[in-house]
Amino acid sequence: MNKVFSLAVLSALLMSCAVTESAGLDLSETVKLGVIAPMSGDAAAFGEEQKHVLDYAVAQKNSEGGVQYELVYEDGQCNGPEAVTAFQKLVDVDGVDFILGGLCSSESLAIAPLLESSGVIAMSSLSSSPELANVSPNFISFSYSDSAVGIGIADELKQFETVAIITEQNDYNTALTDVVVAELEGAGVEIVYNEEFEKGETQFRSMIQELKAAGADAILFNPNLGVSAESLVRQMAEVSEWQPHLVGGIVLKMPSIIEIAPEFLEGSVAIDVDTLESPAFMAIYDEINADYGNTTNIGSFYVGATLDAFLVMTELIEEFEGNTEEMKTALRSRTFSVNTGEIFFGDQTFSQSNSTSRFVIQSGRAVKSNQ
Amino acid sequence: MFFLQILVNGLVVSIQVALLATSLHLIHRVAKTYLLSLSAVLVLAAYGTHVLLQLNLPLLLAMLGGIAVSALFNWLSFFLLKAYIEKDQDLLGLLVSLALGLGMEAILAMAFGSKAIFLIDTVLPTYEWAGIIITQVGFWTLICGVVIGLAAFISLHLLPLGRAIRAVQQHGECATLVGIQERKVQWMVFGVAGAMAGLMGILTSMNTALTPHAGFDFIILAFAAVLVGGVKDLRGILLGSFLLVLTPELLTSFEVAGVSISYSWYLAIVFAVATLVLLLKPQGILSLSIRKS
Repeated sequence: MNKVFSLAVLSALLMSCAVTESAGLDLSETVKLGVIAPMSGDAAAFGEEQKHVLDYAVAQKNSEGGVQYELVYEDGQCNGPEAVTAFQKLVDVDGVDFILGGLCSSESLAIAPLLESSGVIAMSSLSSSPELANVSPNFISFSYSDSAVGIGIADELKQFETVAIITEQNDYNTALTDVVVAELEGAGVEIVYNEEFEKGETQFRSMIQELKAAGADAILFNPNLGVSAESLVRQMAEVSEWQPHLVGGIVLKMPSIIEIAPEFLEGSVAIDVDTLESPAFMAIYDEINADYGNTTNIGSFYVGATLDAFLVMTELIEEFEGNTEEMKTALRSRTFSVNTGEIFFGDQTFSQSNSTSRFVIQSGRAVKSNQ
Repeated sequence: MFFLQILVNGLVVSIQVALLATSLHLIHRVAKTYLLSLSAVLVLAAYGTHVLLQLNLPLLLAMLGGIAVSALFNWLSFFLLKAYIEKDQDLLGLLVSLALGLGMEAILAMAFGSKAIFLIDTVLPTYEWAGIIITQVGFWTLICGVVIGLAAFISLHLLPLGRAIRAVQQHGECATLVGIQERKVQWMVFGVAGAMAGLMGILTSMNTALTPHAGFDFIILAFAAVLVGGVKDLRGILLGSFLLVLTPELLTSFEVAGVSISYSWYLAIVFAVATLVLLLKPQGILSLSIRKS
């Protein structure tokens, strides 16, 4: 009897360890969508603004009748270990099979290896590290790859003879720097200074003096949004009679960064994806900002990407009744016509179609300028 | 000029660490335990100042209010740790104070969020002399550090207060027998140490940024400075503070034998220096001169 019981328990355990697949949902019940994003910490501004967009999206979807959705938010804190904890809670406790996230590349990199074995599909709208390329068949990102932004930044920096680089130590920023350095070395641009600092660092004054002493023609400004970026701009602006030419990514065009020292940042260049400006989309964008909250830091493209992730996820859930294998097949084979354009993933993590634009800081605003 | 600029930047941070290390030292003198909750005291003072600034109080008044809050919290810490102090359970006192500090930081995080606060909204105004730049906050940090350091030294060595503290440090019960009220001295030292840590927290937060956990790095540095300096020697502790801050500051700013050391090695250098000093001088960096006297 004991042997039979032990065998039965062992069989049950083995079956539970098998690769799981969501075979189908009862769509008459509310479908839960997990969201992993930084709701605390330095990157919380991104997470909060994405929440404004998703809250709008789910309210709009539910008001149409039909399948009802519920968003379950978990704080990834823009770091890998917390994102894994968030993922485990969503999957094991809340029982979700579909995740909108991670928001940060470090969150997505951490959860991607867990997706296939858990039978979970994840769609990110902001993760952009090139390390996410082909990381999991169950993961896609509606953002662009940092390779595209890195190449755009490098193209901007190639017009200078010497370049200095200052980078925050996290997955997104270090990957971006790697792309830029590879491009610049290939173009024969001399990198006279290349320093990394710890995530969340606030003391930069000695580093800034070194940066100034290096005498580079241009500086790659590469912190993540948060206390480090704000501290760096403040402390650089303290140095009198020094106005270096800064080139950076999305952080450099954020209103919360520009307003710290608009005169100091005058003429700085930010490379980022293009803004979405169609009247139909801008109406949605304005409605979200008016009724749900500010989204000026993530900007119109990422608002669009977030809406796209939600729309594609829900469309596939309803079409295939939550069967994740069939959803994956459709995700890889279809072209989706969404806010950010005609999106086709194929076997890639990132859409094939995004391009970057050049923004110049003028009179306290980031103005698109392709000169 | 570059060297002098780095030195000035390093001196500002050294003074911050020295102030906190002095607070740790004073408390250890009268309570025989290390009050690690000072990490929370310094951010509590800064948040108190921030709240008062939001209420449109003038800056100096807001700072005084913040310092008062930090002194009060330190008195609360003393009240909670009294039992361990009386029974000479210094390790338990250290652990309880660490828990108290972490708990207060968590409460501050819940109350104010984790997003950084800048006590001064604008880019900090600076003084410039012969090409060397220092923020006005940094300048006043240096001034406060020198004044408080001198005051602490004079008090401890030349004034009756210092004799009372040394008497309590050596033997509390005997001190009571000669008319020194041990409890009163302890309350006073905790209050003064809390105020000093609070002032340091406010100045540091003004010079950089304020987050709920900003005090933790400083308490680690200050604790290392106390160990390096020799627990009972204030001069050694002050010297240790400068050594532990200026060494990594200079090593990461200049090439050494053609090798450039990244800023990410900062804390590693601090602990390497501390380890080296403690291996060579386990009683503290000035221990030889103490034995001779």
